[in-house]
Amino acid sequence: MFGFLLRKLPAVILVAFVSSIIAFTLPRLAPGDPAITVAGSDATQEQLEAVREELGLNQPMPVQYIHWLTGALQSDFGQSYVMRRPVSTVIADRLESTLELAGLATIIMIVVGLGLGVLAGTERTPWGRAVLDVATTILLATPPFLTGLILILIFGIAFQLLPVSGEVNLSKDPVMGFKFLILPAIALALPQSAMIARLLQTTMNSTRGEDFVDLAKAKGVPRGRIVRKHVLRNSLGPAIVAIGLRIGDLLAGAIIIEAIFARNGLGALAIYAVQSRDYYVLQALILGAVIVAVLIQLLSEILIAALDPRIRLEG
Amino acid sequence: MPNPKLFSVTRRRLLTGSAQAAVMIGAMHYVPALAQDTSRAVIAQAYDAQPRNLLAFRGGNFPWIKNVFETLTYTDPETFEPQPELATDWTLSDDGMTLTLNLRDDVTFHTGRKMTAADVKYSLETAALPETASQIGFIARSFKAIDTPSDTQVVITFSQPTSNVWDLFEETPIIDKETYAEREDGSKVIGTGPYKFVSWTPGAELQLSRYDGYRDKDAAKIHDLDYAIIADPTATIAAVRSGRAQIGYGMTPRDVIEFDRNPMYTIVSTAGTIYPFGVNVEEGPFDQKTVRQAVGYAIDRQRIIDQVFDGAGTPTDLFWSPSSPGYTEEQANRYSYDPEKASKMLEDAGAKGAKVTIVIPAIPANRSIFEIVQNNLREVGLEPEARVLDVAEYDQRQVAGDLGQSFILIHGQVGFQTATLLSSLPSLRKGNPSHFWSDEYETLRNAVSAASTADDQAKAVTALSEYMLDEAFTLALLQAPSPSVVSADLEGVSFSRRGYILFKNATYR
Repeated sequence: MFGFLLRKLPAVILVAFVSSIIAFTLPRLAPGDPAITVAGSDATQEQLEAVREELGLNQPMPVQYIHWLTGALQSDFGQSYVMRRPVSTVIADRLESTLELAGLATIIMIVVGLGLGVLAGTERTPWGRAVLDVATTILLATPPFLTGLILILIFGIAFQLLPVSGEVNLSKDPVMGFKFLILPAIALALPQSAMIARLLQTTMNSTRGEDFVDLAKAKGVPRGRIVRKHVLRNSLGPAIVAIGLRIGDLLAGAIIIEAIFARNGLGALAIYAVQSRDYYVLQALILGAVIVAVLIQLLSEILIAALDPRIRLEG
Repeated sequence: MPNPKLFSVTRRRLLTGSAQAAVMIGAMHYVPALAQDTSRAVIAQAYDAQPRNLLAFRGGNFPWIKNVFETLTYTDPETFEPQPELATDWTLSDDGMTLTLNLRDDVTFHTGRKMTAADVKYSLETAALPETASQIGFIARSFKAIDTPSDTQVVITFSQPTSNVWDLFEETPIIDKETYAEREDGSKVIGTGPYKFVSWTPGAELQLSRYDGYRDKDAAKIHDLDYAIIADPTATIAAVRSGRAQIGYGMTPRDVIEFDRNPMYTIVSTAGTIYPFGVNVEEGPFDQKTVRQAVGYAIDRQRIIDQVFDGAGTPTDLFWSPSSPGYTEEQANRYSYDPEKASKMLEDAGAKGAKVTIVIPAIPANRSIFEIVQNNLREVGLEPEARVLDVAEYDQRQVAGDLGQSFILIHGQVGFQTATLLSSLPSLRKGNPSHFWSDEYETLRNAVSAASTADDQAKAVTALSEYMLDEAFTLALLQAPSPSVVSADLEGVSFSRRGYILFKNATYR
């Protein structure tokens, strides 16, 4: 595996470098100016120029890029124009919230997705199949924000069973933190889990028709063992790739879920940074998202290789 | 053949499962503890605080800033007369060119240091700096001198009579010159008010707590104030309805509908927003005055108020507050909805069928207003189309005075004196996006600024309004209030005429 990672390293560095250029250029291509957020929409041209000068926005772009890249290599991602704090501090303040939400949502997604997928992918009665198909279709068709709003109405306003606004970090108060976390995590995870379930169901149905499954049946292997060791194991590969990809979608979906549950994670920060054209914050978030995606991709490849002996990382 | 044992939902299983789920949820029963904690109040606000911009108006600072900072004077919401706050009394010289202010001598900053006249001078001089971005810094920039003969006296010498100096005094917090530089990241935000600034997590929350050294020991009975930054309106409603927040600040009229007639909440409307329709007088067909006036008659303001703001708002052609000197109903309703007249005027001007591009920011209210304006203008023979700009781009172009052929703006400075608005509102100041300026306009503006008595002001404002209505380069359309929802559990929370929340005398019932 070490050799595999070593071979991937140049590609990862290249991706990170190209991403840094895109992350730097993209926000600046959009119309707007962080100085406007600071100076205000009512500012005069004179006030705007004074603020631009103060924020260092009058420097040429290549100079700004080299200055930022040099800092980034030393873990200094610059200072937020609007919040006037180091970007690393701003992101660190929000990171726990997003990690907790994405983490719990991932667990729910995997458990519900694989559970539903296995249930739907094994032989059942027509009624059982119909119930599972309807459940999966409803979950697939309901976007996270709608699930979130329904959960808020039921558990937060009609019955006030769980908090539906704000957050408490798990590190500060695990019990209260979990109460704040559970509804947004469910809202975020359910549609994604339905996708995984549907994929797993299809793959398992297809695998059940393979010769090696018939051979196992002919040899008298018990039904449960056939499902676990032959059908499920050979069907998990695509589901794992999908889980890896869905984690990226979870992070994207977190933006909306954070908004409606008034959580202050990286999604809310990204929206704020885009609206205020806070370039340095945006750059760090874009770069971070790319690196996370690359790492998840590597992890997926390693996991698939571990599950399927035919795939060799070094091969 | 499928194995029926693999999956079978029996009634017993279903009931048992439901009961288990109910027990689990019941075990997690959540009582909104914050709502019952009378030492703390939570305020939900859409915009983040901006400690960097203490001396400029920022929506995110309105709910907290006047609890941490105080000003020299404030305006009585009933009489509109300046009232003492940090200044105890004042004297204006007979020629109106020198103002002497006496200050309280029992005021301390949250660091414990005594506030002096030097701090007042520093605050006014800082407000005058361009990088401070104060919308009314131009008033301080016009001062000839600020002198401090003693620790409790400030003498301001004007370069010209300045009737709107009270706007500057009311809107300029007195800052601590020793710590002002450290306010930017929220590490030291030091004022003289009944609450001190404790912490700020950008984009997330802000915390204030009672300042024990405050001169009035009965003030600030609610010990802690927490401000939750909640950008999403649905989430704000959920925060208030679930009991997390006691105040939902700066909501839209549509958002507060569900709190209306609910005895658990009070809706407070303050200050608000002006939505002007402006045209570029250098671009056809708006280079013709008749066409500009026709547009005034074509727009149905009441329909905008009814459909976009649910009936809350005042239709008006003027930018000034209805209670300000010189505001007349006749002028405010000069361009009452008359599509037939508008159609005929356009026909006479040969502008029928003209294509009109209306630039709007991507703000829901402006989009909704555009829908009605578009319909109105089509009725009278114009061909309007929208160009929706991202707010950041829109703001950039507004500052540059380059918004194109026509535009629907949004201004949040309701409540200022006319003399102030003339220089602070992008629609009216020099370099406005209408590209309108004339010697007569300048003369009439100067007359408003120089008027020292209420009668003189009324005459000057009426004359200026008459000219502006005739030129019709920009029409205010309407002034819509900004509603906030306050829990009935709270009493003594007050709102200034400009929309600041004041917790000094607030308590729980």
